[in-house]
Amino acid sequence: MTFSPSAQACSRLRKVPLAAAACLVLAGCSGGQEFAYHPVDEIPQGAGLVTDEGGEFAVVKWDPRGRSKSSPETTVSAPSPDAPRAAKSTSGITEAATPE
Amino acid sequence: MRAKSLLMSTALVGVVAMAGASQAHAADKDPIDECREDIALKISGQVNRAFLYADNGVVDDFFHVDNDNSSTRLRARAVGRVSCDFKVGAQIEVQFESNSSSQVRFKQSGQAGPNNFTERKLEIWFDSETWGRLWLGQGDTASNGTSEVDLSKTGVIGYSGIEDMAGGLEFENGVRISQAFNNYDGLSRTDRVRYDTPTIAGFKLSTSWTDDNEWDVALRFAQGFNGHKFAAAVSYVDGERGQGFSSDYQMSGSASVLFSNGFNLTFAAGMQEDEGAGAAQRNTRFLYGKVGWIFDIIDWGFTAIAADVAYNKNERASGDEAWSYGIYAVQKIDWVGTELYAGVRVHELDHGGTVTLVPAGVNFLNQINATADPDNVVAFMTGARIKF
Repeated sequence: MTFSPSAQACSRLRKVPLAAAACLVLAGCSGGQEFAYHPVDEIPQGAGLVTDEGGEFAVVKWDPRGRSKSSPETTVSAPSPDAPRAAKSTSGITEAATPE
Repeated sequence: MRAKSLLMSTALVGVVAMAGASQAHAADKDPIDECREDIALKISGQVNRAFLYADNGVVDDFFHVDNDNSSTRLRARAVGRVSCDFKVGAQIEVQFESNSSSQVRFKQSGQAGPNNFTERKLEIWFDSETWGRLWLGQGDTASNGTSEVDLSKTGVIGYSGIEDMAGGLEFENGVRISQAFNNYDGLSRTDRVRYDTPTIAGFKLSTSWTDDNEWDVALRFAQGFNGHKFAAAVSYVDGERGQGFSSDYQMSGSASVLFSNGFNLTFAAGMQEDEGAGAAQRNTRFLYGKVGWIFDIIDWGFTAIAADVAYNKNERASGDEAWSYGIYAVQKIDWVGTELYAGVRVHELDHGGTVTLVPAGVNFLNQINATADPDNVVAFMTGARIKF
């Protein structure tokens, strides 16, 4: 097998753009808003038993350059570059504010 | 060929990484000051346990299972921003299924499946809002999930992956449910290099190339319209026979619409073509449909109900036809991240007069039983998925 698609494979692939074109017509006519589809077999989004809306714990969290952010809700104490970890809680475990 | 593949993958990674990095330098003198984010190791996970009862007309059995529709697992991931446009990330996701619902068998002794962690995702990625995302490692291929788009919120108990609920169980003639059903959901998860384009007008194009020298391409779409949601995906897989893929090529797709009143419809279809000579030539087909409704009957969280039907042709052998139909209910309890669920699925198999049992002529009860049209297998499952 070569990485280049064969002529036969290209012929089959013609069906994919047809389906895409049908969706494009639908999308173009409706002027919709994008949303991120979440697969059914993945860990569900949203709050968990011990997490809030972000749904994840940030076990280690630090400013990448050892400087604090400007937004007040995420301000952390300015650490030195040698000790960059600045967790919000005393336990060193904070909750991720937003999912990726 | 391996050396060539390695060189191409390395070159691709280099190009994407350099594109992101060079853009960072060109656009921002100190880009992190503009778009800075904390770097975090983020931990999440779930436990999904259920009670399964099944009856195939000859025997029945109870099982305490891990629900393979969405298995018990742990995930750790980290993301770091290089510039306003460019991020890097890594994640490890493993599952631990004790008595997986897709592997338990009638009259089994002990537990089914490996009693340890098994891999799902072990990967890194480079992401640019302008150039798209490049993935490396064990993870979703481009085509994985393209048969499984479903907005019904009942996927935890029933979706197009028919064999996840009770796939290891046998019809009375010894044929397992997983041998009769297949939703042709791409190349699943494997070691691969994958590229996703940025999302444009709701569309995203992806392609991947696996360690088994297979490749696939997939197109995804997701968009909302006046309170309604629509999502769809299609994929093409070019297989490498004898290396984990049984056909020459595969196509599949699915679409789901969720109306603002909670009513939803889901469809999926797939096919495999085996272009071998004579008896080796086989074309298989899969069709799936679901209708559901999501509503708020109590203030705990959403309630979702659904019914579905699936059809497979020629999956185990030419002439075979398999049907499955089921009904499902899910109740979310928002404040504890829990979904309670229950569902029943009926599996029906017709060999069309051609019966070659595996092992030939001997079923799981060690009896000679060449039944061409075995009794249905009825499976009932109820349990809870708790996210923590």
